[in-house]
Amino acid sequence: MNRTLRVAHLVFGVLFLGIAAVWLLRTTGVITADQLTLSGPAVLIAAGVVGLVVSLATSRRRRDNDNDKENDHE
Amino acid sequence: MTETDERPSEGRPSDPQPQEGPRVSGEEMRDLGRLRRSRTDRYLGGVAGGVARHFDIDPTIVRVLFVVTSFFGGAGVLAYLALWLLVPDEGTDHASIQLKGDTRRTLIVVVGAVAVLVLLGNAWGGGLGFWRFSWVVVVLGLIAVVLAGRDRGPRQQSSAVTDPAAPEAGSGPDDAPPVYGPPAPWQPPVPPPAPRPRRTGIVWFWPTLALIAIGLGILAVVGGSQHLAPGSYAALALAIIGAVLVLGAFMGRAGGLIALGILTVIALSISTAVGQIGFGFHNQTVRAVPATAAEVQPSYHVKTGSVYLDLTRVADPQALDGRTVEVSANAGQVHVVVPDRVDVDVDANIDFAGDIDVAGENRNGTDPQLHTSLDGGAGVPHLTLDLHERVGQILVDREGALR
Repeated sequence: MNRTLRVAHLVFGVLFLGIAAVWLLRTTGVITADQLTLSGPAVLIAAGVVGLVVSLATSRRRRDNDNDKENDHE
Repeated sequence: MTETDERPSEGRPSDPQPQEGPRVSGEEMRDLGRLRRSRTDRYLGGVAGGVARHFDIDPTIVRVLFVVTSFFGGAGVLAYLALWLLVPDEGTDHASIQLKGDTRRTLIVVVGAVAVLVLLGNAWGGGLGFWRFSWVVVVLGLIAVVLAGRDRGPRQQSSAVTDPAAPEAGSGPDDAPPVYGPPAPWQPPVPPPAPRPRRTGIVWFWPTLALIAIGLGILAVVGGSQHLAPGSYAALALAIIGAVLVLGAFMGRAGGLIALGILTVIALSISTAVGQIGFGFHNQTVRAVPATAAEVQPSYHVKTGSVYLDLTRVADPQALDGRTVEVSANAGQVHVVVPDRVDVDVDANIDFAGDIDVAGENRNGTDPQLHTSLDGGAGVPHLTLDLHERVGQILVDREGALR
């Protein structure tokens, strides 16, 4: 896939889905108010980790692509 | 002043009020893109001076507003710092965070809105977990919008230079190996491709709105007959936005959805908080003074208002033995008076914030809980009180304490 991955969109997509999921769990009573204080940050951390991993992966892929191009020239 | 430069019709010698200087029209005030930080009237970043000039008011008023609102959740500090970063210095078009005019205008409005919401949030006393959590998202969103909306003008130019599709005459010998074949026939130079219009990236925005509309419609039809939790619609919209954003991250052009999602998070937290507290305009008062144990209901509930339950008039307290009475209110006061000669187990909790007082034993703050037993002596009936509120006050008194 030649398109670049939009990290910000991915992070916020995960974040929004996570918030909606936490809201659903809280509303249906699966998690308590105490657990909410854990699951909120957990969503943030998950979104952040996804963002980091994807940034690293795309930057590595870009570097590989650049290397490939250089190799093609030779 | 640069503003007079931009308004050639003003400041003429024939101006009837030369002492007052140019006035600012309403249209100019609404155009927040014109906002500049003042160079001449500044203590820190010239934000207050600039804002005052933009809205044609006394800078002292603006400074006082910034300072005063800083004490309410830091709204003033937040707004000041944001404007300092976003608004260009007078006479220049360069801000610390360089943005396109439209993005800057939008962000200035968002900064104002966020500051107002911070003020409101603080005025409501905070303490709402989800509400506070949503601020983290709002701040993150602002950062993302800033990063996404950064003016990429110079970078586009440099990328055009290094565009591999446009061969360059000046490319070094290392880049292109020399070709020793017969010279190619002359061809007219290919005009450089026209710069591609900047992809606005909002292709998914309107379809997503349509999807949300469909989703909310379905939810309304399906859930219409049942009681939907407050915030259901906002949560569904947020889930749709999140899903499209994740898709859009791979397929591109999901612009505008982050901002929409942030607004939805705000809507979700407001509707959840308001719904859970159950603000209503119908203040109810339930006052029950049952005369017999049979008249004592298993539960008493109001949405907003107060419940007063006096069990001291129960003629046959022995019949209360083993019973559990549940009293609850979303917001307001729960007040129960129990007879002296009854053992009472009290289980009291308030979800968000409030004050619990059970025969002098006190808990307050956010999410207070109190489990306690009141001893009525030997051989007395045993009653359990289950008291619950979202916001407000829970009071349990002994009959004797009120005399």
